Amino acid sequence: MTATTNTTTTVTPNRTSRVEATIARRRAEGGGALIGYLPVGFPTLAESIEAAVALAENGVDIIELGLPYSDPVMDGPVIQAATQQALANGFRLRDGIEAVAAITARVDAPVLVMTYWNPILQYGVDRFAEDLLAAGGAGLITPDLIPDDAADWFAASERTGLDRVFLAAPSSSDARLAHAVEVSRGFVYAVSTMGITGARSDVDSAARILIDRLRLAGATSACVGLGISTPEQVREILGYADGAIVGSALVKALSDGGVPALGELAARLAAGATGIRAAV
Amino acid sequence: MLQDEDGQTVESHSISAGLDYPGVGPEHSWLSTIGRATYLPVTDAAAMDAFRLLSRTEGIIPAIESAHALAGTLELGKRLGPEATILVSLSGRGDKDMETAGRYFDLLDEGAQQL
Repeated sequence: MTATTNTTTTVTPNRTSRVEATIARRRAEGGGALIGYLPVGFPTLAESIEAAVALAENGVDIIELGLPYSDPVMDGPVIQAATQQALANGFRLRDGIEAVAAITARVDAPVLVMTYWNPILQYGVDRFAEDLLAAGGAGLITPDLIPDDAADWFAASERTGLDRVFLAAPSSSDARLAHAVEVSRGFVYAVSTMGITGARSDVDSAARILIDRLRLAGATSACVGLGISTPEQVREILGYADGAIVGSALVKALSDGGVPALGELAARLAAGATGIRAAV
Repeated sequence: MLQDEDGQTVESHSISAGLDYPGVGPEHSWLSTIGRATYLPVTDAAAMDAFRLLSRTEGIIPAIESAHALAGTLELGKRLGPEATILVSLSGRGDKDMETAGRYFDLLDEGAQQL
């Protein structure tokens, strides 16, 4: 174990959640939020920054930036291959912070970091939160951290005002869904299916039921992820959810056709996220 | 956890598939911390020597995981002397490990080597 000291310096916290505000604005406009995932460092660090910028420039509302990890338990083959390449290229956690800073300097879309928890533990929870805030990051999506084990992250996110997005699954009990809603800020990540990331032809009807259950638990900002790859799916999901999260399809587009192909897919997906209902 | 300074898991190695894992479970960690259990390192070679010894002398083929405990037992026996009684938990059977053992002891013919 590498010893890390948790220095608690003075920080200027985010007072409101820009992620929540973005989602609310997109709903008020009669659509919903499109959230686009890309891993840092794929195909290279510089190109991953260009790719994230291209997402925002082509209508993606919120950027979810994944930190490559050796044990990516939530990720399917497309994202695993991309993150393994990033690790083989020498990705370091520090690169993730630098990428956030480079992206937020160029686009207004909020940038959430998606990360497994062990790297953050090693980096130091307080130190990572402070560095992410300083880089202009909006918060963290933590797929393998349950709220029960998140005391350090609660403290750090309260101090910094960073968003904390927890996952809710179809198998979660009502009590656990209520807990996820209560402690999440930004949005609650509704996992559409019991599985891993990757494009699916049909997004499970379990997603709709899960969103209904999250609403009953008081969720005002709930987004659906896993298996979404087409504008039609985005439109369908935004008929009942506040946001649609697309990952593997974007990574595949970037892998196959570079930033131009990525931008083209993002623009098509973004078209699916508008004009769903009358603007308020 | 076997990990680098970024918290990335580092690849482990063991001839035993069940022990080829880069971490230690919380129960073993706790037992070690409170001094209730002592853990000894065992090499692939020592484990396979113990595997062969039990197979030859007792006709019991141990799992390669369990062969590590047998190797530790041999060490412990040297320290405690011939009057000691040592109970070994033979946690698994080694018929599942025939291919690994065959390869290790160079007992496979050419065709089988290529499988």
